[in-house]
Amino acid sequence: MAIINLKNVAKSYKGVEAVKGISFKVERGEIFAILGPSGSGKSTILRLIAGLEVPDNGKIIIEGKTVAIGNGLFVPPEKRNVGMVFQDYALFPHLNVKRNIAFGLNRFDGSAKERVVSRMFKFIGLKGFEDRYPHQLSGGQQQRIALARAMAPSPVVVLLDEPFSGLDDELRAYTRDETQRILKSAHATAIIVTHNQEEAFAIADHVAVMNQGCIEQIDSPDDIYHFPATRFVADFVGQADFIDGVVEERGIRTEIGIFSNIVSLPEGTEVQIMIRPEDINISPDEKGIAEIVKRHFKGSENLYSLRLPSGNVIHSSNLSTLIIEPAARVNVTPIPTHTVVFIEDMVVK
Amino acid sequence: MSNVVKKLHELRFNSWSFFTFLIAALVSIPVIVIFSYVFTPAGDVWRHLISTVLKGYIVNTLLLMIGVGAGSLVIGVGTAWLCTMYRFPGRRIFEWALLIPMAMPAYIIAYTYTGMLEFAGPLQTALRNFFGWGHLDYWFPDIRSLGGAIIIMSLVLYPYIYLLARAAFLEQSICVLEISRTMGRGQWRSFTDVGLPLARPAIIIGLSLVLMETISDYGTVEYFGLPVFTTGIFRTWFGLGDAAAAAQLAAVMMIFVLILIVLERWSRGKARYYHTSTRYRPLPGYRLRGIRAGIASTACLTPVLLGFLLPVSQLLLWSIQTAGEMIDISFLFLALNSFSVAAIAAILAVVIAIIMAYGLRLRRSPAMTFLVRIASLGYAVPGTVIALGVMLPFAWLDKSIDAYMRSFFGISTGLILSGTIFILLFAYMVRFIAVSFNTVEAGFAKVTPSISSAARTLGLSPGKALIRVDARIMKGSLLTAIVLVFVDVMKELPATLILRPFYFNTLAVRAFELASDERLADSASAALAIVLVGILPVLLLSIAIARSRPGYSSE
Repeated sequence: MAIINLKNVAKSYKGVEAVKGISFKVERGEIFAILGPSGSGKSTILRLIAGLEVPDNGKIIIEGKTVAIGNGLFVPPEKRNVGMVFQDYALFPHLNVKRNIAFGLNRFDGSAKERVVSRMFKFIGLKGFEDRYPHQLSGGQQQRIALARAMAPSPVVVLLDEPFSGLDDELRAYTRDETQRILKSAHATAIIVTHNQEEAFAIADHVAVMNQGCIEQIDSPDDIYHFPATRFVADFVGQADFIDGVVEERGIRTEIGIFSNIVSLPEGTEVQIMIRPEDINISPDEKGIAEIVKRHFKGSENLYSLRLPSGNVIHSSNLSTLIIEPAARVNVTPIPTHTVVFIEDMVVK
Repeated sequence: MSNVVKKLHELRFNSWSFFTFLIAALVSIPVIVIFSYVFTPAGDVWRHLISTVLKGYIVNTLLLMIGVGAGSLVIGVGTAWLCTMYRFPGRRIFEWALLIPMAMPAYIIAYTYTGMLEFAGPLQTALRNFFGWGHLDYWFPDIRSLGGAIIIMSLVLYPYIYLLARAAFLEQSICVLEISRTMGRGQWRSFTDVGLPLARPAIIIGLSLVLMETISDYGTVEYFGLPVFTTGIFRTWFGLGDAAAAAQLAAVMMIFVLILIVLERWSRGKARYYHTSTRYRPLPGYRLRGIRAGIASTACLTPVLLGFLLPVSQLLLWSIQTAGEMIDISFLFLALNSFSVAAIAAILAVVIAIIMAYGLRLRRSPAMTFLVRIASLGYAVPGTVIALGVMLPFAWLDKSIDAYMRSFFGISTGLILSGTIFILLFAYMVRFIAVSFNTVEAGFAKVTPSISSAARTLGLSPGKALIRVDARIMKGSLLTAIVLVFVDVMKELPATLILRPFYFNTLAVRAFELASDERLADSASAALAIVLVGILPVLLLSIAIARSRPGYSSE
């Protein structure tokens, strides 16, 4: 049974629809990521689940208990038993770290409280910091304290709102992996909101991609990347190029070759094939069909922009050892392992 | 089931909103009462007032406003500019010392100067002895005049302008001033062409506060015998015994006040757009030398000397001379009265302000914002008008209750509200709720919304979150609010004079009574006590300024 269940939940602010009737389920012990650009309504979903906002419509069920129906029945946040980690961590500045973590443990007596707090410290690997105050900690440490504070009362679900956005790149990857380890070893259920696809892919079991208040796709990270359901998802998670093609007897003909027709469309149908840069191989050839427009050096790889005869520009990623200068001509060979076929904005299954 | 939960949920939010509504409604009663008299038919006294003294009240009030406005502008803006842009001996001390005259209530400095400058006072005596003049041999300006009142009020009110102008000058990016210099304008032209226009909204806010205080003043103008609105209201109400005519006079006066409120609000709106840069560098400060440095130091020393050091020394001298007869058990009771009523009012004002600010934070609707605005207009309404606006409805209520009780139970309840401390506290709330509200609201700004949300998701109801989280974080602001209201109540004169219960005296009332009886030296100990307490918020203010200086780290 799903531990979090949203049915057709909608919320608007001053006439602007932030969330437009979305539904999804999160299973026990799962890390579920909501991925989307800023303003797509993802944080609103967290606030609705936490009870910090009242939905206009729909139903929210937490652990089998209905906590909100439209703007009628409403269980206030303090009665929902959810933990939340805020973007700015929102640690209480007037309390030391230990009392911050113990803040939600009102139901526990003294010794049980003590036990939970010391277990949380062990979990987050910050033993010895108990008496410090939030402003004496680094960003990464504050983030883990915020996580421990949210997890201490053993909530049904931990909600994380852009929890790593305040950290610099180096610390971010480390903190992200730590967060995943802590959540997994506590068998906690978590929903994490982020605009960073790499973060969502690294930490989550399932990812929901949001755009303008709607969920475009819910899948495993791999499937989101390789089999995007919409053009928005394809574009938003990584580089995606679209090449025009026509369905023929042998397959789908494009200007860079023929792809096998995996979707059994009738002949003559005009489609677009989505290609990721790593699915395009290039080799220098004076008689090649494509011209190098630009080489983007990214350290471990070179990303080339290629102009095809049609004028269409696509991309190819290669090892940084392969260096081809702009204006050189190349041959293009697609590797059709994940062929995704679109008609207009929608994928063809 | 679902309906019950919904109702409970709405109730929880609405109980805060309801309190905010109730407070706003109560606090606006006096002003509404006063304005309602605009529509009552004019009585004989009112017609008499129009034909005789009203014009004088208007002219004198205007002259007083123009004079005090000009005086405090020159002192406030001038010293602020000197202290922010130049370096000269004593600048670091003047930076905060220039605020200190704020601690002086105008009526107290008025008594002091009258005593110092009168015929038998130290200055004239010294002049006569030195030059060997006799009585009537020389002309000496009379401090108890319109001009004297203008000088005296300017001396204690300029800090409002100094404070805001200085903050505005500091907030200006030094870059805009340097650009002005590189484009060929000298220091003086840079000040008049760039520095001053950018600070104008802040200066106008300060000016409107000064003018509000000027109109409100009762102690000084009464003592100097100037016919202005506040003294006119007193005379009409208690001399001619016509409360309705007094209220009509107050309504005319409120037009002046409303203009100032609009001016202040409008400037506050504009001030926000005048922040030219969010990045600051410490102002380099042009070092002044020789005669220029001397002039700058003298310019800053003069207001501090005349507005504080000199009068306080005189008060101290008088207090010591009269200590034998004046400092006794009744003086202690007087101080105790002042302290306890001020403390109760301060705590009450802060509790009410917290409820209002939290109600607004939980649910910020246009209607709520409007109500809170109305409730915080009281700071602009003169104490005399508030006293009148509070007395009229409560006296009516008392009479009604008394009549009801007599006809049904045969008991006379008398003045159960208007003759007690209750009505006085109510008037203080109307007058000073804005002071505590502004400070408390600024404190709430320190608590980010996500901190409040975190407390909620960790199991606290809104009320508990307020006590366990918000109030703890903003402890400093709450304390400041208490101190500010406490001191304002200690200094308050006209409303206390009118509304206090019989035989209930405070330091301010006692100082006023003694001074009115020409016992200036005897009034000094009470006056000095008020001034000393008044220094407290000025100190708090200067500490806050030192900490919050833009471009300087707080560490």
